[in-house]
Amino acid sequence: MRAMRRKPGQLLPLERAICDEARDLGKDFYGYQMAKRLQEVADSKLLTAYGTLYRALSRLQDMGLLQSRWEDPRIPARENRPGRRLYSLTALGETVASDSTLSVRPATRKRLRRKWAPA
Amino acid sequence: MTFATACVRAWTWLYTQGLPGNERTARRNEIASDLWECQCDAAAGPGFGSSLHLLVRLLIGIPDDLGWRVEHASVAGTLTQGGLALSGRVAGAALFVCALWVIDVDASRRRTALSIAAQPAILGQAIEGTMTMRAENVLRPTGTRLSLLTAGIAATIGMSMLPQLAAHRTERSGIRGCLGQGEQVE
Repeated sequence: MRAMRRKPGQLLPLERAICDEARDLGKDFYGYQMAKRLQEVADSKLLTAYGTLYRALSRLQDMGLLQSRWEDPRIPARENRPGRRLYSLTALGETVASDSTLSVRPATRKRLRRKWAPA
Repeated sequence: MTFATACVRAWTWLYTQGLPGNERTARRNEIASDLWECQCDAAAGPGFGSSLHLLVRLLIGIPDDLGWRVEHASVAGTLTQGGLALSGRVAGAALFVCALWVIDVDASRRRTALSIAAQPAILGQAIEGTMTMRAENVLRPTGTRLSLLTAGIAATIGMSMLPQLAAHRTERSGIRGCLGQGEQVE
């Protein structure tokens, strides 16, 4: 994804997409799950890069739009896997996600789906 | 797959070095969980778990990883010129290793001989030579080549990085020592 300059009080397309998908999910989510959701929405062949995804999640958390917690350690121990960090939208995040006037998802999809054609 | 997973783990280990304990552990555990999920998907069927896919995800995310690290360092007030230079060198080394690995994987890939078989008379001896070269490529055990290449590169980079890492650590322990003495004097 092309690097974008952030304007004050505005979310980057990826951050907006995460908020929208989190609202659509309606429950706690973890990083890999969100990467797959974003891949489906954008119809991309690749999942969002590690650094890009987790930095965006970290930023959203710093902005107060997301909150995170580690799942109960008994669950991963029982399933023999590493513990998941679960994210959920805060009240502020819900408000931002439901504000359709701020939505930039169509633009994001268009940019992600752009293909090169011979001249 | 193991190599790609190791690359992601190593890179995460590198860029989270020097962060406060809870942040460092959180990021490492988060990436470990992501890798585990990815491997599960790969085991279930062809999907996002291929080693090339993991490496591409890693490489594309490196600028953001560094940005995140710099943000955290600037917030904590621990950003130094030496630290930045070290991060740059580590990132460069990681990119170099990954690029070599991708080239090696591409070079050792099996090629289809269909187009060659269709026109044997036209292409003649040149094709024969090419096929011999490719046969040598295929016959050579890829795993051995890859592991030797990886070991060689890792050893070279490790040796070249050791003095800088040692200097960095000494510098930091020296600062801590000075701070400790200052506290005692007070």
